[in-house]
Amino acid sequence: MKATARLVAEARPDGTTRLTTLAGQAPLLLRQTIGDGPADTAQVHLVAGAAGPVGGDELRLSLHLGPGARVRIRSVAAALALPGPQPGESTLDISVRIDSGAALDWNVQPLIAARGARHRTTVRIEMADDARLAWHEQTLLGRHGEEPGSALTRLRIRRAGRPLLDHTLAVGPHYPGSLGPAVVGAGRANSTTVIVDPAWNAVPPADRLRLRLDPRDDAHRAVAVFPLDGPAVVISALAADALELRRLLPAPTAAESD
Amino acid sequence: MSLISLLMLTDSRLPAGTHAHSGGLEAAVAAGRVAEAVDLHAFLLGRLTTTGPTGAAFSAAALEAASGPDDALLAELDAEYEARTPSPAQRRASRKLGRQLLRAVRAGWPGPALAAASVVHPDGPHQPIAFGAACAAAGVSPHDSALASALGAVTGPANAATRLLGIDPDTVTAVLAALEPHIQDTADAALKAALGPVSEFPSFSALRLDISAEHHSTWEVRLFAS
Repeated sequence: MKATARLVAEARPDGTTRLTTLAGQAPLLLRQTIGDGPADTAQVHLVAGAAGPVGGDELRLSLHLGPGARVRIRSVAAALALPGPQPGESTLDISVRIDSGAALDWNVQPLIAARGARHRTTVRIEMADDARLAWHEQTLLGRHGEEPGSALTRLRIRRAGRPLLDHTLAVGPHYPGSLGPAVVGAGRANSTTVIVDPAWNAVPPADRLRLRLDPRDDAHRAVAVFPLDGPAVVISALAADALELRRLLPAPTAAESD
Repeated sequence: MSLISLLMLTDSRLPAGTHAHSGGLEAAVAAGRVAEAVDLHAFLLGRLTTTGPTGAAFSAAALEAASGPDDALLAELDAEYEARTPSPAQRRASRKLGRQLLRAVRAGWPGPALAAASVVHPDGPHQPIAFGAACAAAGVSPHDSALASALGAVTGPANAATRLLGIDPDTVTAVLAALEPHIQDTADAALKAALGPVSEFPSFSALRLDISAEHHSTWEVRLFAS
């Protein structure tokens, strides 16, 4: 299947956010929902309108947050990547633009790469220097007790026209060496969290997060906080399974900038 | 193009400080993740397929940029490599290795390529940028530069393995030799990537190495700097 979804958000004069475009196609559907987050933020749920992604699927999602707009993206369920009838990977390309003063909070349910699946997610974010971002993504290799599938996730962020982060994690049997001790070993769950918040110029965010996260490098649970140039951090976590990953990241870290 | 220069640049006795770095192997051995030859092979393959293509693509591109020299392109390459290295411990190690390499190479092949690379950042260029500039100064081809960079992704930790694991150096040689086709594939893919825009260059992360690097850098007693 090929599907495209698009969201455009604008700030109203009163500071609340209006979604001027909210369009999707199965299996990539967007629904506006009422959230428990800040009232000035528009919340949207990703809803899977069909199984998948399935090998061969090409999905595209574009988000544009105009100046001052605030958007929160959630999902109703985990995405289960499955092998398709044809060989080949499924792809999801996400392109994001966050204009001056706007804020995106993205925290969706995990992508699960089922046995035999090959999925690729590419995220490209362009953000203004005074825009905010909280991005949280999780990948699980295989369903419970299942052999791992393969998943590649590339997250590229440019802030004020300069590269802030370009991070690709390619794991699973399709990627030689990735299930070895240098990459994920026996860890079947991983997550990447990126927080960019200009308000953090005053307080070093990395130090604050380190206190809350209990950085460790154990066999079943590993996490580290990496401060980037500017008011930004990456939190990388690796765990034996989804349960251990939740133990590792107990706080709603992705909502940190709310 | 000089084969002799290439061999000199990749000689582990070149005083560029690589012997002080284990490429994350010290932390992996201490945690019990690497204990035998089979683990070492898996570890090196994981390093080769992650840091390998990234370093090789940036080396080949930096060689071309330093040949001009094109100062703006060198700065762009350094900034893009920085964005691909989230771990501060790995950033520090990479810039230190870059500085030391330029210093060592300057004695043999002084010239504008090294001078241009040395001013790319106050702490020195990232290692692949410095290696590309060194190859430009010494007349090494982009192909050989990518190959040597990919090889370097595994020879450093392999040399450290004999000290850390106490295994027979012949065994380590056998592990390295088995990686030969992967090293060639890595260099070929990196060279292809280096022809495209810098924004599309590989950015593969070795997740456990990234996390361990931060923890390892806080150890009070360690044999290797990284």
